[in-house]
Amino acid sequence: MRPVPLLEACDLRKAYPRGRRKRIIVLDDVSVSLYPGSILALVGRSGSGKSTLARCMALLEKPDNGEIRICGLAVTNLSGGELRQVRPRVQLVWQHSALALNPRFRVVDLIAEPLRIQGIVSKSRRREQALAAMSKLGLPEAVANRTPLQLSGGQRQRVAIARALVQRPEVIILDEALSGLDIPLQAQIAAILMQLKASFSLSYLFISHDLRMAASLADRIAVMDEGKIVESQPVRDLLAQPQSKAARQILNSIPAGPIQ
Amino acid sequence: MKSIGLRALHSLLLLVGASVLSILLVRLAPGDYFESMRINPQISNRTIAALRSQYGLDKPLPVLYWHWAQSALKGEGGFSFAYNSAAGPILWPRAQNTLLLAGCATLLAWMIALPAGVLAAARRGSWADLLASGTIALLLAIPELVLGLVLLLFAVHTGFPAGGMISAARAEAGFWDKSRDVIRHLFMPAVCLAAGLLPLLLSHVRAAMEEALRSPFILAARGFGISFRRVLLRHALPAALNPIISLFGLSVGLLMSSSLLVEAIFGWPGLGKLMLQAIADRDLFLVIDSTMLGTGFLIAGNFVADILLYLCDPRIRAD
Repeated sequence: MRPVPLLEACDLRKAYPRGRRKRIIVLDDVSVSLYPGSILALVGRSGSGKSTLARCMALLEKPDNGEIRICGLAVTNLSGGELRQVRPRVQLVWQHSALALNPRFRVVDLIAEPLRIQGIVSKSRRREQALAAMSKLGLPEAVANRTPLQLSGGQRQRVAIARALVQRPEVIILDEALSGLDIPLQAQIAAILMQLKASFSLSYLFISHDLRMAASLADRIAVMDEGKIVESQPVRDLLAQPQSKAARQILNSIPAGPIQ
Repeated sequence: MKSIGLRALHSLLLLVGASVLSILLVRLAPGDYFESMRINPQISNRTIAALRSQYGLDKPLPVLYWHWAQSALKGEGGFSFAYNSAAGPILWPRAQNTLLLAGCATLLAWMIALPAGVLAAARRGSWADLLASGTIALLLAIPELVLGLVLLLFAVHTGFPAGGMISAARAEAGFWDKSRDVIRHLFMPAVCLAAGLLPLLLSHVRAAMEEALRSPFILAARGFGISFRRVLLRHALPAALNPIISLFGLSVGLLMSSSLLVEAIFGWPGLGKLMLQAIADRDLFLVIDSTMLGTGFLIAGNFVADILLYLCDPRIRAD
């Protein structure tokens, strides 16, 4: 018997108004499942609906139709206190951490802020835990009192991951979290992510347009095109025998060189 | 601290510049206080010339300015021809009254605009938002003069004092009785002045909060599961504060000029009437002093706003 998915999107539909009468469909009956301890990569061209799906699955946006389930429990229609209780279980790390981190907060306060909802009243205790999370991400204590805009892109992204981590989530959705960083830094943060996965039994939904990076991290890859999941296969199978035109296009666009 | 010192020096230079400009402009205008005496056939040209010479108006502009600057540093602010006394003692009590009115009106306007603007932005499309939009449109559409007259009518019907600053019967009363009476007199002009400022503040606070609430870091903060109230007050409001603080500085300066009309409507013994009369009489030093007080208000407001920005925004402190 297959285990119950940790995070599941069932037949999600989402459309945004364009002009007065038109609506543009961004998610068209999308279903994906993420199992405990696994990494699912979601690849697709820009504008294919990946980030909208990420926000819906992180419960930051409501789909028009369909359901989000966490461990089989429907959470789509939760609101108020019930929703706030569920939120820490699924955390989203954004592509542009410079925008997603409050520029007025110091790094240590940014990471400590979510600890309030865990009922940690003591400020010194929150600071202690924030510093511990920073150290796990290889961030020196010297950056604790800086603001996000005083950090490099790589440091900011680590702060964002540390902030997600302190909430002890079961799933972290990485929405193009490594894009925009240089290759050695991508590899460094990818290695940290794999260590954290093992230490905290995390599952990742890894969203990227970089098939090479996705293939090196994930167990399974889902390909998204024009708001639909057009293909979902284990990494090896997808690389060997892509079934959809979108997957073939992405594969063909990779510069020559082996993908491991 | 260094930047605050530089800002203070900048403010001082601005004050000097404003004083030079105001004396230059008043002197460039044709005629002076004694010019109007010419229409009286009993006063000879020689008498007028003697008077001008006695009060130093025949001196070149730099000398005149130097005399005024020396007098201003002593707190006298030159000489009023119309009142035949030093300008300082005439101005100060009135400036205090204007400050009391403008300060209370600013406080009142901000006390309404800040929570109402935050609420309207947080609950877009709700009754609070509609009420804020309606209030902005209504107050923008009503001229201050009409609003003042409506409030006067209201005061007459409700028994509120409709003019002046203190009832004649209470002039000799004790401190508390007198203060209560001044507050009752203050209510209507302060409401009128605050109502003039409110649409500007409310629309800016709402717009700044809406902008802040659209920021990705607000959505990210909501993703932690922290309460909306905390997201609103701890994350969004500080992010919206910079334009609001700058507007605060401007609002303090604006109130000085807009209080002139309100003072005239409600007979408030402030700077307004004195300033208008001084301009009409070409009472040179009184005009310069009043202008300097207005400029001082504006500079002080912006100075306070700069300090508040420094205290509230860690990025400015880091720079």
